[in-house]
Amino acid sequence: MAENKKIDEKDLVFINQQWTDEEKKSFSDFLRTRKKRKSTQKNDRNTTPNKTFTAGGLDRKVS
Amino acid sequence: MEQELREPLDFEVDKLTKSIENAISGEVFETEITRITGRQSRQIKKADWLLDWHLELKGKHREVFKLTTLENPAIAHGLISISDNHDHVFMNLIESAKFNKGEKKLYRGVAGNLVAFACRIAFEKGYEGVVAFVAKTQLIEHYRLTLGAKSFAGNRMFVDTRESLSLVKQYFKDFSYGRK
Repeated sequence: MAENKKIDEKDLVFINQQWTDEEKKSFSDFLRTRKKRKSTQKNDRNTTPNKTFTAGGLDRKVS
Repeated sequence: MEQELREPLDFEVDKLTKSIENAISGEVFETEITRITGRQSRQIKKADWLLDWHLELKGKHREVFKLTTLENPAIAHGLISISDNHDHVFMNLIESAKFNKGEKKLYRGVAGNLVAFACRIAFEKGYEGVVAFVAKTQLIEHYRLTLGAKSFAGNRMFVDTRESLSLVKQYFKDFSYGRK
């Protein structure tokens, strides 16, 4: 409950004010871009990387 | 699971059970959050609240919810008004009942419960938990510290996915998001 107390130290009051249409659009653009970036990163992770083998790897020459 | 949550949902929240804490005894009371519609506006007595909730109930695209204890659903401990902004949830107003304000407040956790509720809705609607609001300038830092809110532009703030999830998990232990 420690966190509850922290939040309640001051009474939360939001201004009854909406974002302007421009701000809303800008925020939507920000969320969209971020979602796109996340999705791209996810796809990148799913792509099989070029195989590189180091010493001790699969192409290690056995003498 | 994640995919399911990202699909926009058309649903109505009826009850969500959580708890608030008596500020003196520390006793914990189970709570529920229920929607109030214009028809039920008599439940809110103007004299008990600082903000004009009757006006809020008349507002288009605004949904008002009350937090009550399971034991006494007639007494609202706090109210919140939210709007669905199609890619995030917007918190229009939030207010704790008079007896839950200031140093002599009777219960703690009211505001946290209500903000966490908004965050939960933002996950369930597929908005990755993003909740936006306008903060009083002098409270920007307070929201940053307590809610983990970020400034988007000046006093335009938002609770991002990670912080939102943390708030939801704190109040709604049964909540799961993403991979199980």
